[in-house]
Amino acid sequence: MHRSTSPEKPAKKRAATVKRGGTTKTAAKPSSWLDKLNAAASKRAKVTEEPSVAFGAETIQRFRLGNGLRVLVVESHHAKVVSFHTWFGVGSRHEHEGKTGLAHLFEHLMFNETKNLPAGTFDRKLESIGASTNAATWNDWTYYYEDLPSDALSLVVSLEAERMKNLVLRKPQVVSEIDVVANERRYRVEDDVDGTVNELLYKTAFEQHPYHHPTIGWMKDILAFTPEDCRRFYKCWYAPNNAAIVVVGDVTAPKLLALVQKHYGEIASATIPEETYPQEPEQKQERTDRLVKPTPTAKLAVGYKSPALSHEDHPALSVLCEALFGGRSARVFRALVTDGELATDLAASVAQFRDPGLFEIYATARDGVAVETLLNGLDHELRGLSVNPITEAERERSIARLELGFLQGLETVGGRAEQIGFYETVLGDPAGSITRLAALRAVTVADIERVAKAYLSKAKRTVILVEPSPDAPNEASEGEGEEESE
Amino acid sequence: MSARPVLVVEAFPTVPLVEIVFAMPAGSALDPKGKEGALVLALRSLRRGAGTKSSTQLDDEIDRLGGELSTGCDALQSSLHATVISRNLEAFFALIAEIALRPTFAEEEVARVRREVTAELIDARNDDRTLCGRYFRRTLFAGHPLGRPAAGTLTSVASLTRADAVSAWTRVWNTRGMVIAASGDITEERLAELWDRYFGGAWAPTHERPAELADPAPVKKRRLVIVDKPARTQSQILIGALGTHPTDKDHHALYVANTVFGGTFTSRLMREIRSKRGWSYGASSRLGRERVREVFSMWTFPKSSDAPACIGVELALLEALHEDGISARELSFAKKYLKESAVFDSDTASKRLAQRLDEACGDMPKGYHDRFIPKTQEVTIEQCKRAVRARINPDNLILCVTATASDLRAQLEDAIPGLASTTVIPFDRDEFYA
Repeated sequence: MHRSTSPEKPAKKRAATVKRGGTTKTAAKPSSWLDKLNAAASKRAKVTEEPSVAFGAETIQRFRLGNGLRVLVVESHHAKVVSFHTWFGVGSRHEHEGKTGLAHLFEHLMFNETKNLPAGTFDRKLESIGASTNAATWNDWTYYYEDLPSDALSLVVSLEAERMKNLVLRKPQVVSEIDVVANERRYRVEDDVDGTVNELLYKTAFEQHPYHHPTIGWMKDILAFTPEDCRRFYKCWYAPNNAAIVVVGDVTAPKLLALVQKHYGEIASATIPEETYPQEPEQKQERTDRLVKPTPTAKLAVGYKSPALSHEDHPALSVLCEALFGGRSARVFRALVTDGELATDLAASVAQFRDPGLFEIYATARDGVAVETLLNGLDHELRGLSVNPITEAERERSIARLELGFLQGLETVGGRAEQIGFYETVLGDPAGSITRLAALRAVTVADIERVAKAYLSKAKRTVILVEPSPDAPNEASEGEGEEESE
Repeated sequence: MSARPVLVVEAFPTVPLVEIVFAMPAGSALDPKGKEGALVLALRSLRRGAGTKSSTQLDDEIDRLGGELSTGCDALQSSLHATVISRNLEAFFALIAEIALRPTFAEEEVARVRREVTAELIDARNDDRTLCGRYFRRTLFAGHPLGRPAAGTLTSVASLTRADAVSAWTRVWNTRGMVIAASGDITEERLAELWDRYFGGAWAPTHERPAELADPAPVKKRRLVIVDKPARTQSQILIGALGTHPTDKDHHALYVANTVFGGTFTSRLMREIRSKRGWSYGASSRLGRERVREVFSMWTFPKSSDAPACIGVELALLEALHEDGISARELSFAKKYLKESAVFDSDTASKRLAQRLDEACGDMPKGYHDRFIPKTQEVTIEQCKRAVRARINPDNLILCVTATASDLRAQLEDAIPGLASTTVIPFDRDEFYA
C-alpha cells in the first residue's frame, strides 16, 4: 500500500455483486462511435473492440488501443461515482536477488513528481475533486486506483496517463520514499510477529522461485536502491501493453474511450521481458524453522504447496480450506479454538497466485499452550481426514460461506473493479470471479477427498514455530542494513 | 405490552444480500464496577445455545444459510449484526429471533466464552498500535465511563459469572429505543413482516434508555505514557486530548481545521512527517464524531530513534495551528475536498443506512448528516481559529508511546517541553484506571 488508511474515512468495504438489472442505461452501440473515434487516430491510438463478457447481470465491455493498452468498462449508474483502476502485470515475482522490493517501492514513487506535475500535485489535484487514491503490490501484479465523483473522470484519466509516461525519478524522490518504505517494513514485519512469520514461511518454502522473497523487499535491498534502478524498472514494465485499465461506475464507454485515446493514445508500447525465473523444484521433505519472539503466546504457521489459481484443483482445495478453517462451524476451528481451547485465533487460505503457492495456515496459541501442542492438534485433525472425510453438510456450509464472501466482495464499484482487474491480470479472464464461483459450487466431496490426499502431505509442507519470550530480541530475519544470511 | 422497534431500511435489490443491525441504546457503561466485560460476555454467549439448539447446531445453521452473525459493544450502545444471502433471509431471521429471545447461557458455554475473551485480551498485547490506543484512551478518560474497557480486563473478566451475563443481556435487550436497520435486498414492509412473525409480542421493553454521559474532565498539562515493550524498532505514537461534540457551536469549524491539519493525504501533518522527512509511513489526525465528546488525536509511527524528533515536530505543528489557525487557501481547499468527497459517504446502501441509523439511535442530532457538508461550507477562517483555541490546547495533552522505555524514555522526556509527568506501563500489565 502506498499509504495507510486515513482514520477520518471509513475503511474501504469489500462487498457485493449484481443480481439483476445492474445497469440503468443502455450501452451505446460500439460501431458508430468507435468509427468516429478512430477516424483521425494514429495507429497507436486506434481503439478496437473485443468481445464483451458477462459479469453477473452486468457486462464487461472490452477494448484495446493500438499501443496494447487494454480498457475494460462496466457501466453501473446506481451512484454518481466511478472507480478507475490501472493494473500492471508486474510484481515482486519480476525482481531479482539484491533488488527485492523494487516493485513495491515503485508503487510509492508513482505518487511523486512527473514532468508536468511537481511533487505533491498528483494527490492534491485528486483531493480537490474529492477523489481518494491508493495502490497495492503483490507477487504477480501492481495496481493503482482512484474512487472519484463521476464528473471528474477527465482529470483522473489525464493524471494516470501522465504518470504512465512522464514519471521523474531523481535522487531526492527515491531517497525520501526509501525512508517511508523502510518504516512501512518496520510496521508490517520487524515489529509485527505475524508479518515476520509470513515472510519466513515463504522464504523457507520456496528456494528457487521468486515467491521466496517478500513483496516489500529485504531491508538491505530497500536501503540500497538507486534512481537508476528505478528508471530501468519504469522503462521495462510501465508500458501500455503491460497494463489494463478497469473502470466501473457512472461512466459510458464512448466518453471513457475518448478520454483514454486522447491521453494514452500516443504512449509507445515497450518490449516486455520474457520471464526467465527458475521453476521451484518439487518439495520432498518437510522444512521447519523456529523463532523466539517477544510475543505473549506461541504462534504457528504451516504452508502446504498448493496449485496455481488457474489449476483445476484450486477450487476443491479452497472448499477444503473453508471446511477446515472458515467460520465457527469449520472442523479444525472447532477442534482447536472452540472445543480444544488450544488456540485463540486460526486463519487459513489457499494462495491465489499465477504459479503454485501455499495453502497457508496460521494459529495463535492460548496462553501457556506450547507451540508443539498446537501443531500436534492440527496434525491430529488433518490426519483424521483419511478416516472422516469432509461430509456433504460440511461441503454445503463451506460453499455457502464462500458465496457470501464473494457477494460481499463486490458491493462497491471499487470492489468490482478490483475483482475484474485481478482476474484479468492473473488469469487473462476479467470475469474470472464469476467462473470461479461456478467452479466452487461444482466441487464434490469426492473432489475434496482427492485434493486432501494430494496436497496435505507432510513432505510438501513448511512449518514455522514461534516460541514466546518477553525478552527476546526483535531482529528481523534480514537485520537492517546487513547482508542477507542464508 | 409488546412493541415494535423503529425500523430503518435502505433497499438495494440489485445485490442478493441483506444486512441487518439490531441497535440497542445501552452499552458497557452499564457494567457494574469491577464487572467490566459483562455485556460483551453476554453478547458473545448468545450464539452458544438458544432454545433447543446447542452452540454447535447454531454455528452449523448460520454457516449453512450463508450468514454471519457478530456483536458490537461500546460504552453507550450494543448491537447484533447479521448478514445473509437473501434467499435464506427468513430462516436466518428466525434463527436470530431464537438467539435473542431464548438464549440459554449454559454455564459451561459462558465459561468457555470467558476463557476465549481472556485469551484475546492476552493476544492483543501483540499489537503495538492496539496497546498505544488502549492506554491513550484509558489515560484520557480515566474515571469516566468512556475509559472503562468494554471487553474488560483479565481481572474483571475472571470475576464474571453466568448471572452477570444474564443480567447484562436482560437489561440491554429490555431497554426502550432499539432500532432495527436493514440494507440490501429487503424492503421495510418485509422487515416489519419478519419482525411481527418472529418477535411480535415477545419484545416488551421495560427499561428507559440510560442517561447521556457527562463530558469527561479535560486534560491538564502534558503527560507522557510509555507502554513499555521490549525490542521495539518502531514507536507507535498517539498525541491528543478531548475533541468535539456534535452539538458544539464550533463543531463544524473544528472539523474543517482538522481536515487541514491531518485529515487528508496532503495535510500539514502528512506533508511534514512523511513527505518531507520520511519519518512515518502514516501521519494523520482524527477528530472523533460521536454522541459524546470524543477524541482529537495525532497518529504517527516512526523508527524508534526518530520518535523524539517526530514528537517535537508534531507539537510544533499543533502549536502553530493553535497560534495562527489556518490560511484562506487551506480553508478553501478543505471545504472543496469535503464537499466533493461527500458522495462517498452515501454511495452504497450500507453507508446510507449507517447515517440513518446514527440519527435513529440518537447518536447524532436529527438531520446531522444532511446538514453536515452545508455547515462546513459556511465556516470562516476566524471560526476555525476560535474553535482550535477553544478546544485544543497544545499545553494540555496526553502523549502515549509504545516503545522500549529503557532505550527511549530520557529522549522522549527531553523532546516534550513542559512535561508534567511520565508513566511507564509494562505492555503485559493489565492496567486500568477506574
